[in-house]
Amino acid sequence: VSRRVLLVDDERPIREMATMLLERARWAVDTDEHGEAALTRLADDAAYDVVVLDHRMPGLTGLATASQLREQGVDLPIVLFSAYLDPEVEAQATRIGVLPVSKGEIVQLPSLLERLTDGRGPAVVDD
Amino acid sequence: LLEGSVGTDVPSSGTFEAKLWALAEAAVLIGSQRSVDGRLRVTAEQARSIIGAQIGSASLTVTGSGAHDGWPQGHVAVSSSPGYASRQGPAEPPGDPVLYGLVCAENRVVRMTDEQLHTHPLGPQLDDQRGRRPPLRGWLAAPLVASDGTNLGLLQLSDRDEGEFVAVDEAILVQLAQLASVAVENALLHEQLMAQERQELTEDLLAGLSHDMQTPLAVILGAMQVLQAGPDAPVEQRLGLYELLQTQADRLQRLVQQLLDYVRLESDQLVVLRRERLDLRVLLDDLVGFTGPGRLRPIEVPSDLPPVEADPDRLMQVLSNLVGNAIKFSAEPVQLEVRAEADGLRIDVVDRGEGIEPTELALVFDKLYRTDRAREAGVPGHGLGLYVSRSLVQAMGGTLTVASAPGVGSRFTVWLPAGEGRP
Repeated sequence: VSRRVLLVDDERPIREMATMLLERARWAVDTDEHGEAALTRLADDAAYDVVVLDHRMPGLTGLATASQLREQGVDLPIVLFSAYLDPEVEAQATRIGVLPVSKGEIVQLPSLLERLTDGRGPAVVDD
Repeated sequence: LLEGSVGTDVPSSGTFEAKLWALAEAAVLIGSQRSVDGRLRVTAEQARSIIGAQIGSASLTVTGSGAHDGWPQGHVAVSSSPGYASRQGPAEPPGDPVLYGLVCAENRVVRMTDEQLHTHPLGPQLDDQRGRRPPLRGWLAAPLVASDGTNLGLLQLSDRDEGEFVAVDEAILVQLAQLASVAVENALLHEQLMAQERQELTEDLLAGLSHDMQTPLAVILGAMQVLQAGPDAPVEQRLGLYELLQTQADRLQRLVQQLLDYVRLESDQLVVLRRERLDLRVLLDDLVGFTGPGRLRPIEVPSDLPPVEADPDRLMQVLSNLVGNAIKFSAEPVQLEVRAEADGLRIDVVDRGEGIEPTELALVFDKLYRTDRAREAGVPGHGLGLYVSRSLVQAMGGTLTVASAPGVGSRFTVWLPAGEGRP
């Protein structure tokens, strides 16, 4: 069984690039374009190892999406993957156990997710 | 001792009317100043000149820890006669922490003759200050009061030109203090709002710019990583990555261009434009390349278009701003309409998005303006695009206008004048 990540970002180039990097590190990646879609998806299927949320998106922000997930009792590791976080948003994220990560660290995202999910790393996927 | 009494001093009617007239003029002069300090300064000057005293001041009570009973005073505006200033050195406001308390703690008017002032229990304290401040000769002070009844500060005079302060002086000063209170409170609220707005604008711009720079940069970093780490990747994937690098670099380049234009416009520098015969088909092809597949409906270009001279790169910048906006706010593909109209060329960018509220329609071209909905919904952006676009179109001799209705969509119209057609 491979490690699964749900990646939520309204920007197609970011979704594509992050997917490519994560798949190369043998993650199974699903993507959504906005927070509402992610909430619906996770309500049906919560079998993910980690959720990566962009913050600044139309509709629900990443932080608002994360808050709703926490209220619903979802205790998966969540990364707030954003271009810009004001200190207030960052503090709120930390308070609900969400890790803020800058978009500039996209290359490090796979290893970061690996550490975040107990360092066990994703299982090898058969191609 | 402190009670002022009205009625014993009867003014000659001419003087009193003249002073009332001066009071009306003072209201206009105070209102003509926009800043808190400006309004306090004019208030102090007017009080001194209407009533006739050597020194006066208007100031605001500082609130916060350690402050009490009208002390200390901030924003102090002093007005003194030229003779007073030269005789006594630098003018300082008359009055005293304890005297201020008499006025500010209870919002009371205080009028004292010179004798009352110096036989007052505070007299010795006042004398102590003679080394560093000119002695007072009589004192008249009225509180500045906020609309909720709290003390704002005080307006005070000393050293009347002739004799002692009288009841009419007190009545005038009270009127002036009331006028000034309203004016100063308005200016204070306005300055607070402006400071807050500036702060919000800066944060919003920072967030928007950061997003628009970090996104292509992140994609470029990622693509480089994949290309470096996997030289054995399939050719199609490598080509796809190079294309991605190109589009993201272009995106960054456009943003830098937009920022440079914004800075030039802010410093009133002219944006240098090329003038050449426009080849609309090339431009529209570029635009389709910019939007990507499926976001733009097929464009029909009529054959009877007038010749137009414009800067093709800048027009591309304008159209990509407009189309980019339309895509951001609309799920359906965006329509581009091109036609000849009114001695020129008209290009409409039409979307069926959320539309713009009537109250915001006039503001969308303002620099750094973003609609409430865009901000609240977290739609990426920074408020530069429409401002820069309109300035560019105007520099090309054209116009950029908008029509919109909430729930229906928006139509942005670029009109460029027909120019000398070069064969």
